[in-house]
Amino acid sequence: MVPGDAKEERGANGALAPAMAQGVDELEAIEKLEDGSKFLELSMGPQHPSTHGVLRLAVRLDGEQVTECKVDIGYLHRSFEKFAETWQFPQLAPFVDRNDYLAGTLNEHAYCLAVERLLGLEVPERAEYIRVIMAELNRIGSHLIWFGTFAMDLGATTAFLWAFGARERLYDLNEVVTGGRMFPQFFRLGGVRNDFPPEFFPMVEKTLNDLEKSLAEYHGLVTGNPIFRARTQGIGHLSAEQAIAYGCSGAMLRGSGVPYDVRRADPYSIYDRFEFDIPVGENGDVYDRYIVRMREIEESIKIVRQALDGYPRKGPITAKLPRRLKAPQGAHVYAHVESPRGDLGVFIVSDGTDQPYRIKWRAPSFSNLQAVEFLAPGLMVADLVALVGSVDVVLGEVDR
Amino acid sequence: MTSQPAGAVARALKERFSDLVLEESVDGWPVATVPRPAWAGACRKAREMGLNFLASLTAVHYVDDKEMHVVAHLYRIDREGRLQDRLVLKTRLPDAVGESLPSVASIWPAASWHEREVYDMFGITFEGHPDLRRILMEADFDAHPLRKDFVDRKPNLGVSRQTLAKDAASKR
Repeated sequence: MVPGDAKEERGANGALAPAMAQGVDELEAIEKLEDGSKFLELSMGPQHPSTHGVLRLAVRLDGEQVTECKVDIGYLHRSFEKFAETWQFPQLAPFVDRNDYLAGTLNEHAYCLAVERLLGLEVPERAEYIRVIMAELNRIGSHLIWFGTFAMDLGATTAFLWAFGARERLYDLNEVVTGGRMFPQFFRLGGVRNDFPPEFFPMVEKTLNDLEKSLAEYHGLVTGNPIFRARTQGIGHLSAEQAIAYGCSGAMLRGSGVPYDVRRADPYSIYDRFEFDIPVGENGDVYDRYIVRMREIEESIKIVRQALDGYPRKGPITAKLPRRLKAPQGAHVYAHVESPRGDLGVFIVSDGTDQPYRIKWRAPSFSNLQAVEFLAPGLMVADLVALVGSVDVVLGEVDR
Repeated sequence: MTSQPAGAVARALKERFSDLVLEESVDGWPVATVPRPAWAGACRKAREMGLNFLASLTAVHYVDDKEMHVVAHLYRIDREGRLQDRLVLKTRLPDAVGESLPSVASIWPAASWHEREVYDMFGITFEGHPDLRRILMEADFDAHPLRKDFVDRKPNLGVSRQTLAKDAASKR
């Protein structure tokens, strides 16, 4: 995300996102149809700041209106699933961080959950608390990055800098506990690597208090802004039935009014012990997805506070593991967690050795992104940027 | 909508398809295996029974058994956001590139990209799929990497493909 090309003037509606002007130079073809009308085929991406990494949208335009949009993915394909077949179960736990690189802890949670169910491991209560606290802090961090980049897609650079400032504090927490910032590599099969250090508790208290104040500022800066509302309300409308049919989950589905959250619908870890609301939208547009994610930050803060209150100070943090892990022959498991982007599932097939025979990573962004092809026709180019931003796509997990 | 206990769809499918094998996975999911000709019918029936959310559709290559399994994970999510039912639906194909199965993208639009990925990674084609192209690998890639007999190649450094294939064959 390089804010270098934000010089261009924009119209009253924020008509053309600044970086889009570059795309016009990459004009692929102007096709003349029989009735004399002209279509413009535009390739947005893969190296384009508003496509969040390396996503390419092959868009066909009539004037400034999108008539067709094909999503081209695979630029970040790292053959994770093939690679996973050659490593042992415990070796793989740190590697899954790299799939959804904004929410490493959540990836580890899904993976560890699946392997623990496969091997029948019990996780000690204290480790569950540590997992929940770290996962929710990670979720807040991920939503903050999304908030910043989404606001920047719509031209609000200040929000981007503020959000990254706040996220830095959450990464500091990650660093104090795990030693890593983006990639904590913290969950182990049957538990976690280490306990919280004493300095963590005052630090997390202060960070959460400050974050609550910052959230009020973000709402003042962005949520109430009439330009922001004009750019997001009524754009990219997705109904509840369509969202379910397209396999959308997370804020995509909740924005459309279905309060489906794996933490509540299929409780894992110790999420059934905490009180939290599931924010939903009404119209299923870009604005609703924005509001849902912003409110989820508040809910995550609630969960962290409750977990810190109930956190047992004594007890083991890892289960006793056998020296050599052996999964039952031919067994398969499917575990899913609520990642910041939605329903993250891990399907593991075992052949009775200590290596997975096959792993399928059910990435929520992969299914969510599919809906873009269906939602894009009829939108203006600048609205397409808002739509792709509202999906909160992380190409690391789409392409795996 | 009335609430059904988990596994209701699995039991109803068992009644409808006599040659369906019903098991349970180690983590408690009902697993229904249908013969290949019944795949489309079983999927349609599952959708009619309310399994409206296709979470994942993938394949597993059992190279020793000379078989490929296509596996779908289905949920039923109601308007209150509850997970009402779940099912793993499976079918078996003989082990060969180009084996085909009817597409279920018209039943669950979500299946479209998942089927493209299975085609890309395993070489299984889906009849009636709206746009069956490779999705993660480049368009001119000539193998299906998640098959267990896939031979990894070094990037092309001026050595011809034939040399590499001969090399790989001698190692086998």
